[in-house]
Amino acid sequence: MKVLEIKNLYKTYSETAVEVHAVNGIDLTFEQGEFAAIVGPSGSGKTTLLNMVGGLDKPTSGEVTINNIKIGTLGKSKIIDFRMRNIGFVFQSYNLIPVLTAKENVEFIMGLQKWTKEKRNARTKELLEAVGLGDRMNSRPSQLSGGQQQRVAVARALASKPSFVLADEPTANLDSKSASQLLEIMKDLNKKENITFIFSTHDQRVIDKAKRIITVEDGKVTSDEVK
Amino acid sequence: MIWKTSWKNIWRNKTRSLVVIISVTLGVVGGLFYAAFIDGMIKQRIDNVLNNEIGHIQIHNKDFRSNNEIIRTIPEGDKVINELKNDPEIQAVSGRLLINGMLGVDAKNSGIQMLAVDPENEKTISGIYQKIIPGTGSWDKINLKNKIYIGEELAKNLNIINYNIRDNVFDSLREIEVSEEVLQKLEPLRNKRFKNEKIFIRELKETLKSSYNNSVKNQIMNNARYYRKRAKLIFSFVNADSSQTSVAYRIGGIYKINNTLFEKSYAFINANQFRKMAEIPKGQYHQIVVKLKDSEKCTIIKKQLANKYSSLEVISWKDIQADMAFMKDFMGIMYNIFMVFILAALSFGIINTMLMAVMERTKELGMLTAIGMNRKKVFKMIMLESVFLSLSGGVVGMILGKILIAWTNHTGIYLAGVSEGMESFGFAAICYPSINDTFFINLTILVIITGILSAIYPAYKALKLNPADALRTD
Repeated sequence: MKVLEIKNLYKTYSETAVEVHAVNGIDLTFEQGEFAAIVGPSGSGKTTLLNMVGGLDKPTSGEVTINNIKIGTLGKSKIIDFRMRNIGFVFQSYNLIPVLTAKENVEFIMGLQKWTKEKRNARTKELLEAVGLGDRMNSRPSQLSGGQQQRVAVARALASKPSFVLADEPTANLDSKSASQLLEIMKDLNKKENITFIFSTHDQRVIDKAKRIITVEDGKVTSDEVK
Repeated sequence: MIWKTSWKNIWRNKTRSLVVIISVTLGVVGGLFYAAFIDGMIKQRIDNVLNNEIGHIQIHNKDFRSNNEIIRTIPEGDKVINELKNDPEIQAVSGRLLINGMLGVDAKNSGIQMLAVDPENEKTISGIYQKIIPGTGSWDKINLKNKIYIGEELAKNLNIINYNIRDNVFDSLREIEVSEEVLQKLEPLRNKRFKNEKIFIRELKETLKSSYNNSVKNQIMNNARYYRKRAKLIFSFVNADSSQTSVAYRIGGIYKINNTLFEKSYAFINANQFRKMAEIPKGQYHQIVVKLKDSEKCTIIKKQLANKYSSLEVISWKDIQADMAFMKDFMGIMYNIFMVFILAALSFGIINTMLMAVMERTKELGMLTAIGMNRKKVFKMIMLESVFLSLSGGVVGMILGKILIAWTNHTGIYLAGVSEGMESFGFAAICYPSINDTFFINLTILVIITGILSAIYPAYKALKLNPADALRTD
């Protein structure tokens, strides 16, 4: 089942004297359950592409269709609500809410969707146990290591059962051991929950685990390989 | 979830939040105490005016107040009094005869207004009978022949209060542990009589020199003071037949009500005795004083009585003490203005703190928008943080304010340095701050409104963040 379709996507920055084509005509399709990595050097347009796919940024032209809905047609409020229900985010610097515990961080998004307390508790427990933090539910981010924080971030991204997870350089701030653990966990969850994972990365460890590798250079897809 | 997060958010930077909460607390305590202090002072003054001086409503012959002639009485005063006594809105009524004249002792004279009263009825409208200085007499003596009750200030003016450091005064001073050095210095003044306070204080200063201070002065004065209760006071006035008449009185008691002007100007005698002497027919009065059950109904009842007794002049305490009524309203406005300034100052503190909080959390707010927290909820979260900050300080401030007001209301605040000035304006030298619950409720609402208004700009700033840009910040 097709969860994401990118058609003829462009993003041009024209504020400077010279126009910059950050994304220069990309067409891609992602099926449910994929574990894909978008790779390329810094400045190749990976993050810009991910921002447009996640509805955080607007394309200059082209279309992003998620679950048959063209997100370009959604208004400001609707796109936020749409993101909440359909897209999970994992950021390079974890971005957890420092005043909340691991449990509260994971259930935050469920709270916004007004899930019942029982449902929230069950899902939070399930996810934190899946990422190996069942015993650290009441720890605050400052009491967790970088790898543990990123695992909480993964649990949070999956909390509301999105169609896919966008992970922007998720392992960039982690040591090898933590990065490997995190990738294993994400791979397991990808299998177990059948949720699509799309990474933006230039980390070889991620590339090695990915089943599909899309290479982007100068805003264009230069190769798209399935392992 | 948002409420919980907002509450936790304000404790991210404990020091900063505590500074804001303490500022709000101090502001609220200051504002409350100021309002309570002013309110207490005005309330005491008004209570004094209503309970000891003029009552709520007064009725006179229409021509009486313009020339104060003894013949300008209310013809059927008794009938009016009886009718008023049956009015369910009225608590008490009493008739008075008012006679302007000179009161003299030896060579000292003072212009006064004599209030000739029915002793028992007067008790229902005026608390003067309870304000007699111990040792100077009692109200019960008013039925004895030619007894007069004068204020402490008038007694001072007429040199009825004297000072004499007799042998027993030295003993008393020793008992209250006045130093031997002071007692030694006082020796030259032993058994000397001083006719008034001014001369006595001057002598004390010169004699005690470096040992003189307010505490020592008060201790000596309190023990050396004595009242010339046997003094003969001559009251001279113009009688109904325009002849000058004089009557001799002896002191029945000296009252003190913390209003030097009133104490200087008014003396009380028995109306029946005076009526016979001045040949004023029975049942006639110059003034009928009315005390209401509910002082808030004063204006309405005054109008009703004015309509009913159209041939008489009906005035309320607000007409007589217009300055007092004005002061009451003016102080109300003043402390509202004061509160507005305090709340405005707090508001700037909160805006500053919340702006810092939003700026520091740009990335986090971007993340929250990215994962699906809509603008309404971001706005609500920032608003709640501000309301929690102001409300925490507000609640603590109100509790501390209430405790402070209750404590000072119990102990009173003695305005030592300005007591004489206060009393000359009719205000008590001891203030008992008080405040009503409505003011507390209003203040709570105002603090919440301040919190909400202060959060609007920082919350607006948070809304303007673009999630993609916000996430790129460090």
